[in-house]
Amino acid sequence: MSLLCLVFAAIPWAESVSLIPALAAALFAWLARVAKGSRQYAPFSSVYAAAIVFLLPPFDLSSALFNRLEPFFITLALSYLLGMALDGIQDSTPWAWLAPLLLLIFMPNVLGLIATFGLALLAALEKQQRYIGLNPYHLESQTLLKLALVALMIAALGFLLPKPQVFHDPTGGAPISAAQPAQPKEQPKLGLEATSNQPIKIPDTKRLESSSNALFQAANALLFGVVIVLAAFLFNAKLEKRKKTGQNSLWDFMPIIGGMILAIAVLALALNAPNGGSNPNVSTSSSLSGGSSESGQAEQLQPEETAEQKPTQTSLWIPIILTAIGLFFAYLIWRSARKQFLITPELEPENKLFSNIPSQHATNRIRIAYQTFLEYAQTQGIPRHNAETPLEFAVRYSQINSSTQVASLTLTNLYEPVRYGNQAAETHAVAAEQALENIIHKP
Amino acid sequence: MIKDFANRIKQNVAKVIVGRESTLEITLAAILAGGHVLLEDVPGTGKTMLARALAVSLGLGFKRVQFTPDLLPSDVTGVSVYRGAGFEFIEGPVFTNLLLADEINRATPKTQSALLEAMAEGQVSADGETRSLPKPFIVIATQNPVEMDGTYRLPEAQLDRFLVRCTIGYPSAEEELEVLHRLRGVHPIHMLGTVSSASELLEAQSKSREVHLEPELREYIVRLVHTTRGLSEVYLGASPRASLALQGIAQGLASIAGRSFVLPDDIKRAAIPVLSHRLMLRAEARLRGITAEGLVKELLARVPVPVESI
Repeated sequence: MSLLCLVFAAIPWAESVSLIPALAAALFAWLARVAKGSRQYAPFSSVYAAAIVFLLPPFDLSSALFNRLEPFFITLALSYLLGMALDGIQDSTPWAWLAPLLLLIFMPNVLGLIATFGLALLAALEKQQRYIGLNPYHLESQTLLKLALVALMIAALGFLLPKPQVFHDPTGGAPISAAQPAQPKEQPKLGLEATSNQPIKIPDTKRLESSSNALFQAANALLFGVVIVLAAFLFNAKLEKRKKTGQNSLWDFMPIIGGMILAIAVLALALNAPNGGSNPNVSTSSSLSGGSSESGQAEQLQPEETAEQKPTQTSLWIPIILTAIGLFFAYLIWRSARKQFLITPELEPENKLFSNIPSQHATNRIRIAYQTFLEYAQTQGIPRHNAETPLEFAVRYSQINSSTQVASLTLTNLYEPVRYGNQAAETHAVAAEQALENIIHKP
Repeated sequence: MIKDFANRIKQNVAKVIVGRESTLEITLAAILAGGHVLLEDVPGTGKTMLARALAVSLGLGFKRVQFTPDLLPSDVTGVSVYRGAGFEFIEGPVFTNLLLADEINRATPKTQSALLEAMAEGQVSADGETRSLPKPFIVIATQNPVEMDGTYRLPEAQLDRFLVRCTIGYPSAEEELEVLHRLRGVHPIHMLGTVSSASELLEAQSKSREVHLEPELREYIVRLVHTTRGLSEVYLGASPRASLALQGIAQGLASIAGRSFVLPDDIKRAAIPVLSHRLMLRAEARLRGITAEGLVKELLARVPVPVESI
């Protein structure tokens, strides 16, 4: 649904710049969330989708330059889809941060930075959705600090992205190495300069230097590989922190190893490409950052496109993304299988509380509901002590807030089998969310 | 299954022992974990009666040894006697399912140590021969902590072999009234029936060991035990056997409650009975009035419990 949302939103957006496409995206996102059964997340998803659509510059669908944005759309949509797919495992917010990162990669300028920070803020707000009804704008200092660090990291990565260097060889002789530019006469203006209304000077020669392109592609691929590795590492670290099984093995680092292999493979592919791929970002970056006033400029760049350049770029990005998604899903399947095989307590028939309906999604929902309860209690000045068990905390909390006694004990009773017994059911997830609702919106 | 088993035992024992459900549950959890129990309290609080009621309820073979200063190890383990054709080993009272070692601290350390092998390994070595004890084998020992004359403090090695040390405490006024009411005629212990069997107990022990313990809770147990070794007030902290005991008792308590998984509350509940008798306090700490129970309580209030992080 999320993918459909973005695809549908992108089509009207490409025709003209107005609020309508953004509103359409918001509507689709809302419907997607409601269809998914998580109505409370709908507002944030809507704002998030609308912001993505609205912040992107307009683009002519019929233009050949649309093809340059194709990988971007695919990446953005798939990363969001990935986030949704992983929702059953953990909060999708870190994955939502991947989309802004890619946005900044394609918009390495101030606008991109602002957009990135804005989207990261939205992602953080989505994480804070638990405060809906309490304080929608509540952001703890710790969260703000994390947000700032992530935004800085994203910005640094975006600005560190190597820009494509297209050199003009006046003699038309031997190729010029990127490391030794040999006094290029003109260099395309990128980044911040491109945001002004100054037209970009395109080299009069149409020949792209192959080795510099190969290096650019290699660096780009390497950066993407690093992003995958970092994401995998963070995912794995968080998982390990949650599980703390104490049984680390090489398999626990499978996503990291997979990401590294992928990065190396892509690097090798890019370096060995006969033409080094097309020059993807000169025009793309300029066009993206140029805004609506540069539609003519897009046309100016169009003649430089050749039919054989398009599939090269697409064929570079799509396998990367598909491989990354494949790796993550393989990891999820492996993890699920590992859990199934390693933790299989023999239960008495009457003790099989709800183990006949193993539901990772329900587990996640109940844990999130309980975590939200803890955070809500903290905002109420009743933080859980480190050495307090859930039951002790529920008793203490209900002694202070007697009106929530039933709800807090219910939520705790639903949480304990999930946290300490690996048992959950969909109906219990609904009950847990209802109990949380009763705690937050107590009469 | 275990919950039903435990309820039957509790209801039967409750005919003799008024109140004391918590002590009874810890004792049952220790039995489910295959461990031994040390009941420590002042005289007249029902220690021996609790042990007897448990033995009858469980339907186990039961023998009682009154420990005295002149008791010899062979009086416990058995002795070889010459009968015409040769020596014959006469099994001591230790060859039973449930041994009540009454006032265990009145015997000399030599006699107390006669139980070490039996308690740890379920066997007895005598006259160069090792003999297995019947299964299940449970020792319930009692001792009086107040009276010091003519007693010998249990050695650390012996204490460590008791899975838990429980106190019974004085009953409340209402409970004492109930005791008077029940004991006005024939003592109910004589009318107590058996509600279980050795095979059922063995099966329950096996099931109890299968109760799920989340790896993070296992780490919590180890953290608790490790912390005792670094306390400045103690010169001897809890042993790895204490970690195993905490795990076993927590699993036992969870199964008695009808759960198939352990909660941190089970571990906290088990901590004082399991750890307190294993902590050897320094003299200066004892002089300052610090108790092992107090130290364990302090630990429980300090060591983080694995819950959701925010």
